[in-house]
Amino acid sequence: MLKQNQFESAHRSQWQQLRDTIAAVTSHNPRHNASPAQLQQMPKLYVSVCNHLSLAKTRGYSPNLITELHTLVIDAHRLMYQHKTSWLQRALNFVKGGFPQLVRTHSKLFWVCTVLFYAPAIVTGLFAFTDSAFIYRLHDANTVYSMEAMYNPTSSDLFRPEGRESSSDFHMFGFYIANNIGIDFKVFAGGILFGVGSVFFMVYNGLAIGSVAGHLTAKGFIATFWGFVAAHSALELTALVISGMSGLLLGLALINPGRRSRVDALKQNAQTSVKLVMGAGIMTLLAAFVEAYWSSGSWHPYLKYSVGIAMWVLTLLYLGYAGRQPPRPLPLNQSNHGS
Amino acid sequence: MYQRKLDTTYIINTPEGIEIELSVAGPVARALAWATDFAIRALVYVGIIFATQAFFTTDNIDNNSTALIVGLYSIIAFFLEWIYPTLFEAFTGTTPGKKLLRLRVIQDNGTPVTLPSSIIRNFLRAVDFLPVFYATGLVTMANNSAFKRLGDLAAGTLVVHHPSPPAATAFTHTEALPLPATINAEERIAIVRFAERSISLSLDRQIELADLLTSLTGQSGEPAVNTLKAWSHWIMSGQEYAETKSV
Repeated sequence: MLKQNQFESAHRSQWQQLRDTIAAVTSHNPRHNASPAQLQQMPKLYVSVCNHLSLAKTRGYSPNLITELHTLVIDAHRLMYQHKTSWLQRALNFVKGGFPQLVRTHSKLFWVCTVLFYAPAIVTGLFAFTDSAFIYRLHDANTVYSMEAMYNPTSSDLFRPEGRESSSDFHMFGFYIANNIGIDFKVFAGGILFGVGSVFFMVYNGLAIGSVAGHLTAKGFIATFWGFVAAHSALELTALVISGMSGLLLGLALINPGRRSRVDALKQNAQTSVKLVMGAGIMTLLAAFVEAYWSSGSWHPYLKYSVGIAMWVLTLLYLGYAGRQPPRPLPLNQSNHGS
Repeated sequence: MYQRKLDTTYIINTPEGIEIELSVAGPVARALAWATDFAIRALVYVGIIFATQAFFTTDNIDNNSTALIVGLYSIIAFFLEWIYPTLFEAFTGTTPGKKLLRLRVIQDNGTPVTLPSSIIRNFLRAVDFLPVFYATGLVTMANNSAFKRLGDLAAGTLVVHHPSPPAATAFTHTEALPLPATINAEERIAIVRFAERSISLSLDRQIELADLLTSLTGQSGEPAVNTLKAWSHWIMSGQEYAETKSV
C-alpha cells in the first residue's frame, strides 16, 4: 500500500491546480478569471481528486488529509453542478406562453379558486347593496367612513385613502406593491397549511371587496368606484385567483399526495406552484402601475369603463390562448400503425 | 471504513461515485444568521430613512417629493422582506448573515440552490414564522433528520455548514518506528490523528492522552508521546512492505 506521504507528494500538484482553478472561477476580479485551458482541465481534475478522496478514505489515510480533500471536492462539486441558465430568456418565455399554459393545465383549480373568491364577493355584495347597515358587520366604522370619503364624487380626497393631502401616484404605487403583491405571496405560503391559509385569504378578500363594492354602489358612487377599479381589476383579481391556485396546489400535495410520499408530493407541486405565484406577482405589479397611474386619473367614466372591459378581455384572452401550439402534423413514418 | 455516526452528517452520493459528507446546520446557528440578516435589513431601512430625512428638510420639501419618498419606503420594505433573502440565496447560495456563520443553502441532492427553490423556501417563511418567532419552523426542524423547516421541505433544500479548510497538517517528527503487528486499521487512524492534533495540544495534555495507551507502548510520560509520534511517522511515510498498487 502506498504510504500517505508518497501519495501526497505524487498528487499534491493536482490538488493545488484544482484549488487555483476554483479560486480563478470564483474570483470577482476579471484579471484573475480562469483561462480557457484551466476551464477545460477542471472536470478531469475534479474527477481525479474525487478518486483521490475515495482512495484516501479506503486506505485509512490521516483525517487531516481526508478533510483537506473533502473540502476541495465540496468546493469543486458546487461549481461543477451549478445551474447556469439564461434566466432572462426563461422569464420572457414564461410570460410569453409558459405561464398561461400552466394556468390552463390546472384549469379545474382555476375555477375552484374563482368560485372561492367571487362567490363570497357576490353574496356579500348583494347583502351590502340591499342593506346599508350590512357593511358594518364586516368593517368598522372608520374604515367605512374613509372608504366612502375616497369614492365620494364631491370629496376633495378622491381616490386618496385617509385623506392625506400629500398622497400622490407614486406613494400609492409603493403601497400597492408592498400590500397587494405581499397578499399574493401570503396566499401562496398559506397553502402549506393543508390549503387552509389560502382558502381563508381568498374568502376573506372576497367578503371584504364584495361588501365594499355593494355598499358603494348602493350609495350611488358608481362612476367613481367602478370607474376607479375597472382598469386594474382584471389583472389584480385574476392574479389573486392564481395565487390561490398556487396555494391550493401546495395544500393538495398534503391532502391528496396520490402514490407519492407527502414530502415528495409537496416538493413536486411546489416547483409548479412557485411559477404560478411568480406569474401572479408579475400581474399584480402591472396592476399596481395601472392602479396608481391610470385608475386615479380624472378621465371620463365611459373611457374608464371601456379600458376596464378591454383589460378583462385581454387578460382572459392571454390566459386562454397565449402559448397554444398549432396542432403538429403526424410524422409520416408513424401514420401507419401495425403494418 | 468510516462508520455511520449518529449525528447531523448528511451524506450525498455524487455521480463520481464518492460520498460527500455535509454537516447540517441546527436551529441555533440558523437563528443567529437570521438575526444578523434582520439587523442588516433594519440598518439599511433605518439608514435610508435617516438619509432622506437629512436630505429633505421641511424647508425644501414639497408634497410631490414627500409622496415619492413614502412610496419608496414601501417598495424598499417590500424588497427587504421578500426579495433580499431570495436573491442572495439564488445567486450566491448564502445571505450575508449566513455567510458570517459560514452557512450555505443547497438543494438536497448537493447542488447549489436554484432560483425557484430559493423563492419557495423564502416565501414560506411567512408560515414557518407563525405564530411567533419561527415556532412552526422549529417544530418542523425537530421532526426530521436534516433540520428542514416547512420551506426547506417544500423547496427540497438544506442549510449546511460550509466546511473550513483543515489547519496546517505538518507535524514534525523525524524518528520513525515500526508498529506492533496487532494494531488494526482503525487504531492506526487514531494514532495519526493524535500526532496531527498534537500541534494544538499542550505537552501535559499530550502526555495525558498517550498514557492511556501505556499497555500498548509500554511507556509513560514524554517517551510514550514520542513513541506514538514515531509510529505515526512510520504509518505516514515509513518504507514498510510492498503491497503496492500504482495509483
